[in-house]
Amino acid sequence: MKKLGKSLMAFILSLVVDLVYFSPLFNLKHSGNREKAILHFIKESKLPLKLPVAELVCQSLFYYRMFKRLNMFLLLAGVYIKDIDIFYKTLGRAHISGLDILEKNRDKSVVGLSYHMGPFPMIPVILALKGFNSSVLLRSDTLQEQTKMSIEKINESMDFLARTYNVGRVQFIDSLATMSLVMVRKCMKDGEILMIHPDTAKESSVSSMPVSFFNTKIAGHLGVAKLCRFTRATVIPFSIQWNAENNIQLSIDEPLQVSPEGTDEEIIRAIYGPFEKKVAAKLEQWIQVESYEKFKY
Amino acid sequence: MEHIHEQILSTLKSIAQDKLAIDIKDVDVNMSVVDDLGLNSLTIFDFIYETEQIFQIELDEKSLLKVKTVLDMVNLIEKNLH
Repeated sequence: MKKLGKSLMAFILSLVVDLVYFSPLFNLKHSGNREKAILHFIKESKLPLKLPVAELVCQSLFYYRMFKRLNMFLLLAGVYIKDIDIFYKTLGRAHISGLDILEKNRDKSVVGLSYHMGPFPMIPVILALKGFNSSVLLRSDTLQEQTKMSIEKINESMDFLARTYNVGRVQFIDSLATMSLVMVRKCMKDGEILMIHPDTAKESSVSSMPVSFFNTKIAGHLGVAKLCRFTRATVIPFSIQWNAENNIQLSIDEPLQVSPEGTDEEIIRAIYGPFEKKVAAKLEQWIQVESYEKFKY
Repeated sequence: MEHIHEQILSTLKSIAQDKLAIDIKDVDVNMSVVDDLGLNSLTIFDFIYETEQIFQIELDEKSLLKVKTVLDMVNLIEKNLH
């Protein structure tokens, strides 16, 4: 009943938005682009609850346009990237290499290793469009700060997309939760790829150990090592980069040589070793380069 | 039943002491795993892994997410042993 009510509201809102769009009283600067206009409208609106409205508008566009890819783009555009045009065009032109590597490892526990390089939030979305389910382990406070949405709200929306449009599922798991690694283990057993971005531990603590990085030390997450050991996961590196405007390349590489019999320290070194090489090759794409000082051990 | 409970509890205490360096001399079965024993996401994961290795069982994650106290953990292990 609640879902029906929400869907009905979304549909009605879509009609209202259409009326506004065509109204001569509302002078839209982006008149050639309906979605951009709507997001512009939301940004400029004085409505007290902006983001739930944004979500409803996105959902209303699902019903109005019935384009499944557009739904994902719009929703994620609201979360990560405000310029919907670039987001939409970019995902449509993504070059992917190494998908066969994922297919070969479909029935195994997979840790997908990526860093804060290029448009990294697009990785789980691209995978979802290809039918792969993934979980992303990250801090809820960081996500909340960046997106102004709770992790529960985002997961609800992602679940809606997956069910409605028969694409892969993306869910976010709060790394601050005490049972986070237990939840992650369950997801991996269910065949989901665990996406992690281990290059930004905010503090050096009992959960990390120093690893070498560009003549200094940064904090290497011990949780990653434990996951690899306890689940005997295959560790697959992902990297995504901007080639040019609206042109991205997602590379899925051969699994790293990580032995589950190794110690936490050995695994950390095996995981972080390739990291420095990747970043060095395309330093301008590493978004942490300006805040690098914060992540030193 | 009480005898098995005691055995499981004793083993769990050994794991906590030997593998995780947690001093648990005065552990009570009603103690909260997080608040009283002070386990965090890493130590809980370590604890579960070591428990599974020693008892040669695999604990279901759905059941693990419901564990709040030491007694819950003991009961869960006992259930998996049968």
